[in-house]
Amino acid sequence: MECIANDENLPLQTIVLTVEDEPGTLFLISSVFSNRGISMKSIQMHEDNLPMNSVHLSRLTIRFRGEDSRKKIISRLLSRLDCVIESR
Amino acid sequence: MDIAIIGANGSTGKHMASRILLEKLLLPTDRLQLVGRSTGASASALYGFRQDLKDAFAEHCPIIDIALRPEEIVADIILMTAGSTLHPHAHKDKPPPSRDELASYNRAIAIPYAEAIAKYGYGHEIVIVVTNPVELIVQVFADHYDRRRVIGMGAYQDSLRFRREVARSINVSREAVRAMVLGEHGDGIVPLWSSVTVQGFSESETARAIRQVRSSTSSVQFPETLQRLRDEIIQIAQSGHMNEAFQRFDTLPPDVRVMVGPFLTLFSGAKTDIATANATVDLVKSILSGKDTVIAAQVVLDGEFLSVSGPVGAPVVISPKGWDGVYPIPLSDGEQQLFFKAVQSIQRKLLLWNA
Repeated sequence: MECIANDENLPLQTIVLTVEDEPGTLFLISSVFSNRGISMKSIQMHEDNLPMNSVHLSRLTIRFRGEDSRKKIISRLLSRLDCVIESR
Repeated sequence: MDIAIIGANGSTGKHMASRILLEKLLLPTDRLQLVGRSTGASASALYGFRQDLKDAFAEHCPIIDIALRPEEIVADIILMTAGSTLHPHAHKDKPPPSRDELASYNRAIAIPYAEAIAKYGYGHEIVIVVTNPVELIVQVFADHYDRRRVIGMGAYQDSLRFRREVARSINVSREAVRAMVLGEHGDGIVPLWSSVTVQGFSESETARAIRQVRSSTSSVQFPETLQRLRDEIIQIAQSGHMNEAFQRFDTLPPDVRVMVGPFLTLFSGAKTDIATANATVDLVKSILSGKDTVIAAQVVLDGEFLSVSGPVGAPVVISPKGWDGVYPIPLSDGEQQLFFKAVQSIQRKLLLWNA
């Protein structure tokens, strides 16, 4: 598959996720990117202080290069994962 | 790669899901989306179905997602199988729905999905339409979305049946027979005898074999022959002699069996869901293979084949982008006449159904 991630002409996209902090979360999220030939430029994780319904949450900020339509589909795909509470 | 099945709680949808997992078409990190309606049985039954699939395919199960609203559909390939089907024994006290009632009901189901895919999709989805009347539902999706990414199953499945029936009549395997059925998925089917080739047969041997098994000497006589033989079979089936009806069915010419087979199956109280699901998953595999493949399928034409516009079964080249163009297959004069008649029939029905 063509890797479009290193094309510096493409706009830098940012997706912010609120996710459940549990084993496998990062694997599932990174699979959505890798299955579509997208390489993450950066990924930052912040642990949220307050657990929701006793589930510990983390905030992920992911940056990658791609067209707006790619961000739209990636964001929608991520939002369908059970471990993702919010995607924006 | 993600696949969504609209109407996953129906029998065809369930068989599709099961076969997709059985054939490991999706990786564990891919997603199979089961789409149902928030009102009705599927709202709760899909959760149980998901659990059943996980139990059955635990070792290589992809992510299974449930969507109960059209706007939640996210996938690369969307299989549209939601809707009602003609079933003579659905309600014993009531007559079966007419084709017009079925069309109106299924059209109303399809429109919100077509609108949602157009609005929320990313423009690269391929929609495979299984729901009947397939020409109408293909038109509904093509009205809202890129017509080159909407493919109807009817002619593809009719072609598989035609190949099998020809193969059965001349005692070879289906894989050895290449053949197509174009036109309408229904009474207006156009079996292309001129397209039949049999592996290992010379042209004259093929021509001789065809002469021995086809229903009529020319394509234009086919609708009349079909009608006559179908009436005969119906009469036997209605008299309660189902075994006899199937025995008589086995003696019919292969092009007639293509049409009468599914009808008789439904009439017996069974369904054609397994064959439909298998054919659909075969088409998905062809698309996923990445190779350009020529198939017969219902697509909305814009003059690309015999200057026809509108939805009809036509020979098309499919790829991971949908259907790229038509394959210029030559038709005999009789086949061409039959094809144009089918186009007119479809257009008359669409006018009625879209009114």
